[in-house]
Amino acid sequence: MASTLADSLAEGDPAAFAALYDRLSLRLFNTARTLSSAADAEDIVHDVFVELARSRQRLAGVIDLEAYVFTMLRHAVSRRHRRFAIDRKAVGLIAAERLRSGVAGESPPRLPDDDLAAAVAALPAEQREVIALKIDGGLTFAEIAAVMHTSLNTAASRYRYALEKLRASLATTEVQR
Amino acid sequence: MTHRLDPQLAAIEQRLERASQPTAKPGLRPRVLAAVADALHEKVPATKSGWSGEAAVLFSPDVVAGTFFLAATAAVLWLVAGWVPQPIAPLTLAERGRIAGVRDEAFGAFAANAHAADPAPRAARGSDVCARQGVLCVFDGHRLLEEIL
Repeated sequence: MASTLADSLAEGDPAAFAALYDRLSLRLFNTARTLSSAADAEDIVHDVFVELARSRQRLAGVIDLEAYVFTMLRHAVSRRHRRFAIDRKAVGLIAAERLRSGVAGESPPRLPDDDLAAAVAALPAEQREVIALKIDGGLTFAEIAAVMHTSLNTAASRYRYALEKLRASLATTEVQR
Repeated sequence: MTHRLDPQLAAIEQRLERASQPTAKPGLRPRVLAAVADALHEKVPATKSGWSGEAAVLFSPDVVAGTFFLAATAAVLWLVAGWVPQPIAPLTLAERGRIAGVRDEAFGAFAANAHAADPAPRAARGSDVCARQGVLCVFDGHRLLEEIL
């Protein structure tokens, strides 16, 4: 991405933020959805752009703006997970209690990609991040390596391991049917 | 970097790509851009920790590091050299008069021995006079250079 966009963002140009949104929002949203949930993804994207606006001075001279923004997204997802960890635990306890008492309603209808989503959700966090950044974020392995502070080979290896685990997981699911 | 996948893994990859279709709601754009506009109009951008700008400057890493450096330097000087910065007080009139008196007496003693060929005894005589008055005098053999109270 051109460094001039980063400079315009650093100067607080609203049009530059709109351009950045139009360029990255869908990829950011899909990545956040895979790393967190569809319900949280919009709030995460919202938080990333507000944080970008507030800390815009840091954008001056940023070379790889996409990697920078996706790194912010990754941190935003982590913060959100930490913030809601206790809430989720409480919700889980309530849900378990409802299951025991038979209050739970019918299961929602299955969607075609439910198996795939479940398999992705079951991946180790680092592999799930690589899948999200590659498939949803559309980043190159070099950019993923920059976002995850790791080497290019490690990023590529994690991607391959993730695909192999997904293949095994989906095969098991189909055998069970 | 290019990567080659076997057909099964490539199929998984294609399935992931198909599942990753853009799904963000249209209403998200105006909401985000309105929030961005609000953030851009904030007078002092908040720091990551949420402090105000003034507090962030006061406790910025540079200021904290500079203060620590000065304190550490003073502590090292105090420990190693016993150096303690003290103000230099100006001489009082009585002190100045006392030095002048000593100088006169010392010069008198010096002059009284002016006939001696060797300057060292003359300086020693002047120094003795100074020492009795509690003043350190410095002679070069011919003249009184300075006196230190």
